[in-house]
Amino acid sequence: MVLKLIKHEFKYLGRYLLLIWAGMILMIVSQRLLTELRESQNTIWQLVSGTAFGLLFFTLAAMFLVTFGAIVMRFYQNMFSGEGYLTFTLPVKASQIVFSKLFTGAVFMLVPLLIAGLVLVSYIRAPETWYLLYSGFIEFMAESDLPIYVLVIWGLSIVLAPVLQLLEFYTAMSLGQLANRNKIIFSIIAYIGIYVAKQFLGVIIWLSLLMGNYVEKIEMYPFQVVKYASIIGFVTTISLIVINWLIVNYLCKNKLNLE
Amino acid sequence: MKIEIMNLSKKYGSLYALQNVNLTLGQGRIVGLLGPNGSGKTTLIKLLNGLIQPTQGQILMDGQKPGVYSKSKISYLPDKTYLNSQMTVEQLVDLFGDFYADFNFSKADDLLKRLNIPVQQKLKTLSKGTQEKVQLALVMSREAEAYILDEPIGGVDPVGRDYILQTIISQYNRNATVIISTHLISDVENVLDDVIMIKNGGIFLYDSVENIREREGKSIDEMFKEVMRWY
Repeated sequence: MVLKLIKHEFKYLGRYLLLIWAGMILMIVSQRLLTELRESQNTIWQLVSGTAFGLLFFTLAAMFLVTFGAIVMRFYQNMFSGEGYLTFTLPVKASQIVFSKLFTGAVFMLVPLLIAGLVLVSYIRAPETWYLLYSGFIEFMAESDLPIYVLVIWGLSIVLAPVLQLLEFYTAMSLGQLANRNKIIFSIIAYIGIYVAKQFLGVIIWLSLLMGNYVEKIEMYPFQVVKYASIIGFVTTISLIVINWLIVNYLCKNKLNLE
Repeated sequence: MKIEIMNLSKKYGSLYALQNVNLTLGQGRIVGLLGPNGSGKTTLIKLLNGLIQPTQGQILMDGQKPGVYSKSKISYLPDKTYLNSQMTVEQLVDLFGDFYADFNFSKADDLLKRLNIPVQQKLKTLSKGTQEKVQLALVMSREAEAYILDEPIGGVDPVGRDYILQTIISQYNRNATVIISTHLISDVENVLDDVIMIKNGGIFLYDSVENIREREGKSIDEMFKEVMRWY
């Protein structure tokens, strides 16, 4: 059943986002090409190139936001508006519904990430630059003595960051739906609460690190600190994902309130 | 499907929408859930479908709480538009067929044809009345063990009401329990086997139509109007 849910999520979000993405990718490609004019001697072309660069950054950011917004809106509409009457009378578990939406959302969030990566890579064309990057990386790894798993953690953190962000929105909306009226307003208030709680947690973690002579250790063993900071950050992200997941599932299963 | 409702209450703030409801519904009956607006009919139906949670008491369907099992057996028609208006009727048929093992494609095809519904059009392009017909066609195309229909004739003209009732009566699985919630009693009276009358969140009558007519010597509609006057 979960595969069927994912299939329908892909179909719906795909129909909605593919057209928007196509338009944005077209804009990104043309802006990217225009930034090549930076090497021109003509002031106007240089100006065009500078503007295109700014627009390119803006379009990439817009692509992230539009994708994220579409995923969050789909969650709310499909779960807690009129469509929720169908979603929650399908013969599936609430956890399967939430998982299908989270999985699809995470996959769709990879697309703008991939496009941003491709744009970045497109600026590194000369083989010498690639070689420089490669040798710099090898040198960094040798000097830092960082284990490979730290790199894996960095990679996973990039993928998990939007997952956590999505889950925090899902949690906020699941809390907001508990209200009999003004569910969207309560969802926003809930999100502010989650955000404040997360910042507070961050402050506590950093304060405890500072109290453990973290600053001194940064000077003495900078790469070891990077390693442990990466691990702590990763564990925190995983923990927050698990906590949010449990809250959303509990609320959708036991406290559903389709008033 | 056997539906048991025990000491069921639902409170919104300090107000009881349902209070201490006890009912047992057997299979193969068409039951009218009758009551004026705001009496608690929709609240009871939402509780049966697990869309809201009871403040107190419980509901058992074939001995199980509302969940995956009951959702696979109950075909539910809400009192509002609940389908994604961006989808075409064809896509909605596929969606129902994908998730409900008891969905009968040929029945859906036949019903949609008879109701003159353009299946390739998006729901949002159809009139409100046609959208309601699509919902009804999808719900009645299931070979369910229980059909729970919330105000299926609520916003429909008298000719449309007959049409919808005929569709329900001709399409439901004969072994199933059918619960029809309405305040338009004279329209549904002739198709009902049993009647549940509900007022201010409480059940004040649950009996067969035959018994009520025999005992009271009047129609359900007349009796309903008379009883409601005293509440």
